[in-house]
Amino acid sequence: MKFNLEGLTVYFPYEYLYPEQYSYMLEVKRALDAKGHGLLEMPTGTGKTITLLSLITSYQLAHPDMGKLIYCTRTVHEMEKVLEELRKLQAYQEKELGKQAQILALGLSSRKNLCIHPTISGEGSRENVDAGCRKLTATWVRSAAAENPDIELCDFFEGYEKKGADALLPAGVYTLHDMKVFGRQKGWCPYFLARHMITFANVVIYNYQYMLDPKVAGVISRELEKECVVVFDEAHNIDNVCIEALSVNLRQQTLDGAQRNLTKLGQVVEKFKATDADRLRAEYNRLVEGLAQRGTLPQNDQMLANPALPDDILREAVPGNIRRAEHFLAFLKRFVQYLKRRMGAQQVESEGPLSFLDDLNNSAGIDAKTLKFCYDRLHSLMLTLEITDTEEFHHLTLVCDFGTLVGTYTQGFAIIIEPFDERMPHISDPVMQLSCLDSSLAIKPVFERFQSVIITSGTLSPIELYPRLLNFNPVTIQSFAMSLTRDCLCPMVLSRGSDQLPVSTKFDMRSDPGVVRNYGRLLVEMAQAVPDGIVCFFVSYSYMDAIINSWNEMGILKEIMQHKLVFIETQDVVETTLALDNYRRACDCGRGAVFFSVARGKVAEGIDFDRHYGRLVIMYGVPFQYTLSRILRARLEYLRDTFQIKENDFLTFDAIRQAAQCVGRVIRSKSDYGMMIFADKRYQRHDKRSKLPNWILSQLKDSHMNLSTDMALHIAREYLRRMAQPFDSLSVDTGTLLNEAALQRPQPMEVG
Amino acid sequence: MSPAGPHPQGPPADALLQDAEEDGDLEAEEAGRDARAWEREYADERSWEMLQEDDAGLLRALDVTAQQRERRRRHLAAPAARIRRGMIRYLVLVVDLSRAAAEVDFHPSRMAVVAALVEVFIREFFDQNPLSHLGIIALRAGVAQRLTELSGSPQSHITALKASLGADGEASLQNGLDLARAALAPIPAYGHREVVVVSSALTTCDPGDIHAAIAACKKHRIRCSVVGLAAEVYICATLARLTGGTYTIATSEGHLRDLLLEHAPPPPALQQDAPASLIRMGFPQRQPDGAASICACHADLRLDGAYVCPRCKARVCELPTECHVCSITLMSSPHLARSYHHLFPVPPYDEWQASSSSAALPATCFACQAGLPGVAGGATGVRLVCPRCARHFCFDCDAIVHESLHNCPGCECRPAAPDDPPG
Amino acid sequence: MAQGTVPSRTDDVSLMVITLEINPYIWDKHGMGAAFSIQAMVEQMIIFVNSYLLLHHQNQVAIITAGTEGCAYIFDSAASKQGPSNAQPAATNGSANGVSEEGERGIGSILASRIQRVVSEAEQKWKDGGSGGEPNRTTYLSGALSMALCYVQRCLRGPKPQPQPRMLCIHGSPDAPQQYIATMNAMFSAQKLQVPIDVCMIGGQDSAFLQQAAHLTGGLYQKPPRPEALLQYLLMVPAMDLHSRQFLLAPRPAGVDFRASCFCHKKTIDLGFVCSVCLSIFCQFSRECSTCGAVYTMARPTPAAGAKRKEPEA
Repeated sequence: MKFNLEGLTVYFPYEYLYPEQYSYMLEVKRALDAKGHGLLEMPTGTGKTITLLSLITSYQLAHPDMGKLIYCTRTVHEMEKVLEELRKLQAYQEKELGKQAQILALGLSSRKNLCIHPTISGEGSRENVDAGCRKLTATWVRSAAAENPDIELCDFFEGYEKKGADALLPAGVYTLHDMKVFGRQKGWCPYFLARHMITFANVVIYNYQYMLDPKVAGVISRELEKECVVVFDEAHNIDNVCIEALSVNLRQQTLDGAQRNLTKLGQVVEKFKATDADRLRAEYNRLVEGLAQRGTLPQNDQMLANPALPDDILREAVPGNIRRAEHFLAFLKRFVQYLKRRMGAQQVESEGPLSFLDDLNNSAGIDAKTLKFCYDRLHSLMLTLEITDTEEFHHLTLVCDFGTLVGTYTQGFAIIIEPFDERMPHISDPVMQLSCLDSSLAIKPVFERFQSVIITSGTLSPIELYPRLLNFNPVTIQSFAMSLTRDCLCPMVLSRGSDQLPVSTKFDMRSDPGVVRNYGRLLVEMAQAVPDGIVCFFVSYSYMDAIINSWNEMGILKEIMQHKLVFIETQDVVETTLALDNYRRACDCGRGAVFFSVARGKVAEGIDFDRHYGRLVIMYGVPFQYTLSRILRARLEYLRDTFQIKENDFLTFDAIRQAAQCVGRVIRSKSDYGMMIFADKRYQRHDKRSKLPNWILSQLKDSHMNLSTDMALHIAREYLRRMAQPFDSLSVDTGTLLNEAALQRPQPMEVG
Repeated sequence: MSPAGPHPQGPPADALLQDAEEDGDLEAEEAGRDARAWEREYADERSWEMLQEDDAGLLRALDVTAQQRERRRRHLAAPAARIRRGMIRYLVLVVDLSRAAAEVDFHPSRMAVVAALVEVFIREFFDQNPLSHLGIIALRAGVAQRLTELSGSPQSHITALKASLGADGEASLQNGLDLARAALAPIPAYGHREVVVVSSALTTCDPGDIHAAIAACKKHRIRCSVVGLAAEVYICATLARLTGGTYTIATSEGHLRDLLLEHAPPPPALQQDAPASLIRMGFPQRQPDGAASICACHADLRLDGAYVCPRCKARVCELPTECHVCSITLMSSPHLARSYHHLFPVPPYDEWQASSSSAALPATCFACQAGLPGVAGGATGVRLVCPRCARHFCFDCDAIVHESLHNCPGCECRPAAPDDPPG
Repeated sequence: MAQGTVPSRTDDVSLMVITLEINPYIWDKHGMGAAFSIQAMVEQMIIFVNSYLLLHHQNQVAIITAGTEGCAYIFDSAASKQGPSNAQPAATNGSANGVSEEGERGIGSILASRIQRVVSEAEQKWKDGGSGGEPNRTTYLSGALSMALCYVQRCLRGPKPQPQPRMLCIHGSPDAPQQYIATMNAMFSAQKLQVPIDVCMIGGQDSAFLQQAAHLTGGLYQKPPRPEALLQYLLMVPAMDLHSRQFLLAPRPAGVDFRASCFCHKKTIDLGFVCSVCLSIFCQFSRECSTCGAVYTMARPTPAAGAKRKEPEA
């Protein structure tokens, strides 16, 4: 249908619209009109993606001067889903408007997902594919191949290169698969084609990293115009993504590897000196002139980019003391030596970048300014030395990464050296962490560069905290509730076991056998009463291991298995995938299954347990972060000092958002239904509970709080019976669905 | 009240303090808590406010119009047009007697309730489908067990089920379906094959691939329906969806009864499900009592009235049956007539809309003489008009006419119109 | 289909709904004629109703006339007790008009005048209709039975003590085949409600419909050889309350004709064909069902010679 939204004609591919979708569009439109940023929370299952796409593409149609839509997703799977939705929308718009509505939309992913080279695409890991590709496409390899036909090249890249700027994608919506099909058909490399086509596309969908990680963003997103709209979907963890993008961990192996790399580089330099001294000299001259390398190099050679942000690297010449290759290598050697010495510390050390630099200057004679350039300098050197196997020099790259970040930022970072893991104090496993404490650093350039940035997710509560964490001023902040025709989600707070004793994963209670038994009984009872799939989330792997062991000893596990099969998430991805696959199969064939998983794990973040795959999710405990972690402490301190966010507030916020994220897995659409049990007495407290997203809170009835196991069981049985009754999904009359006619009427509502 | 000072039995003060800290706002919530489960039902509806005492001293609902409309929606939803139905049914009733059937959320236990209601269902089934056959399969301890073969005698099924109650082990839906399919394999083509599963369990433990069993049922045009006692199970929903059956979940004993009885009237059927054919049947006359003869069914000398097969003159004791000598189906015309109302349903009445010409309104229901709403001093509720004969009826008669009588009294008192049912 | 079992509830209060055939065609010309006039019948009915009401002070009775012009309530003992509100005259169906006067005038005169009026109306119509086309000669038996059942159920919804309902059908005309389904529906409904249908045939012939009705519902069927002695028959047989029937020897029913009549020729048959889709009965094989239009795909039925013996159906 199409309708008029405050003067904008919106094309929406479905016949009905939820009222919250309407309000959501209104807010997005206002943000776009004001050329500002937006922060919007809308529960999953209300069609957030299609709402966003539909509004922004309609906006693009109405305002041709508007830039691209950059849609950032967390996973490739989500990217594909967005593209599918977009394809539907596109088909509808073309039906309504004809050719003029044609757009080019494509997803961009790593080489691993786009490569169609017969041998390289078979390589397992992402790094291997990248390195393999470079071996076949680097400029010097290609120029060498021009003389020596024995050198292997990638046919697809050559095909693409031959076409040059004429290699274009016709308008349409391309998923990764479509890109590969198209590439095979034309004999062009889909990866480079996609990168090339970004300039022409109306909608680009790619991973967060491409926007937030300066190493990648510098390469990919550099040429995007200011008028673009950037959307971060599922952005509830965006602060963590930002922090990760700017954090570096160095271990003993890294430093050892870096040392080996240095030796090897030294040999290569010597060799070049003997054979091709001109090259080194040319490089020296270039550095003297202070040409920033980036931008002058061919696209396919850009394998590394600076980890710091473009604005922070002054466009100045590389300092004289590292311009010569051998000087630079000596400089790095000193740096690695210094780091090794620091790593040998016997107790935990934690300091800010300034004192670190001071110490570095005093003991190794390295100053911050030089350090700042070490990443760029290494990059330049490797190009000069024609090194294609970047993977081999991974360790050294990491060290330079570290150096540049330390040299660049004096604020918002902490350097923490831990000689051993807290949990295993006898095993020496030193690690030096350069931890970014300020999530606003990485996202700041995005806010500054682009006209509108929309941050959205199903769980952004409490929504006031995000602008403070990310340090920006959104023009619209809104949290939408879900309009429901029936209570399709049933949250409960269970605070007591069947013996009326409180349950909690609080540190002093978690190993109490009574609590463990109560938790176990809860699952046994629920396994009897709930059909198909049940998902349990635990606060950590170690806690999950411990409790499963105890359950096994108590015979609880056996009882559960009388009713349902049990599957467990492990830290091994392949194992977990297999477990998930079998879990789904058990749900499909009516056997029923329980999946044990961990909050903050892979499953909690990315896997849906919708429909019969998850009729009940039990959140055992409050998933607080490991509070003794130095990084977390440093961050909490920083947040308190810089943004005046109380430690406790942040911890609770973070724990509750994880919990909400876990339980939110269970419902993905309005026709679905599911129960959520928060099994910890601490959820009973107002400060915890009130941080849950509004769409859960609004369904949490007073009578569903402070429950014991038997009461929860009673509610569950009643609820499941009620939900199994047939219901009328089309309820235009009740106002939970809007059709075209309803939208023609004046709209009085403002859902808040 | 209690004197000031420490309570000897009370918890220590520090524990109290800790509790207060832990459960800070608990107390406030306790006050706002919902009523108990048994109070909630009444509290929500405030049903007493809807009552008034009528002149017979009975409590009557104040204005029942809305309520009556709601109730009418049910039979209005049923198709009024003459649709084809599977009149000759072969139904296998699969009763789940797994461990879950011993649960006591229905009183005294699920199993007992199911057994009692299945008895009601079986009687109703044969009442409404005299030409049909029924068999029972029990699911217990992982296997499916055939309690009765397909046959037309209600009593034998009921006895067999009652004799074998007892819950044990897991239920295997796949085994149940496979066995039912085997039982339904040899029936004649014109028969409609059906499986109704009464399921307590929320899980099925199958030896093989249940999806293959479902596909086989679909292929053999077996309509599988499931009545669940606890919650929606995906595989049951899939089974019902793929085979064209229904899947319903009972919320209470009364609801379970309704859901089971929904399977008593013949379901709508497609022509390809069972090709039409003419079946040869005998209509024996009842002999007066007192004439002694030997019956073919019990091989016994009987004195009471009996029926004689018109083809081979063998004597049978009850109808409907199959002649034991010549295998012809023996029927009486009332048996057939019991099913006719499915074929010629009474069109739903329309609710009368108030108009200006209320002066000439009949004050009483045409069928039962009860006072009708819409006139001065009349009752509350809805007034209904038959679209064919334009006579006015009360709400109760509407329900009677469409649910049990299947005749419109008004239409039966005037010459048959061309669109009226034949016969 | 065994005899409908009638449980013996508290046997003192009973409700009797009488359907009375007033088809002038039967009464006046071809039926009893001068031997038993409608006036005589009405007089006897009044005595019967009065004596029935005297059996118990809470006994109730309702009388529905069934004729060629439709059916109507002509008497409702409940209406008079409940006061004037329910006894509003109703123009369309000729309801109990002015029953409240019963107290002064007695049942007799009301009944007499009402029946007289309905009968004369019917006769008038019949005579008028004689000139224009074929007059309707069928009595709406199914309609009267349906109304009676609705009335019974209304009383069963009413205040306690609930009376024991039964129906009495005084009938004379032959069965009308087009009412077959409706009549059967009504008697199944009565069977389910456990309302016995007593039948008193005053015409010359037996009614197969009503024989089955009495048989199915556990009522009594009788065909008085001398219609003019109707009152005696009525007082002897249908006046018995259900409780007493357990102890008394009621007239034993003759064999009931359960044979079906075919849809094609309205012949009564004892061997026939039944359509598997709509259960219509035919006396001979055909390719297509004339009722529902189903085309028979398999030529399964064979002439009687064809031995279909080993074809077990289950």
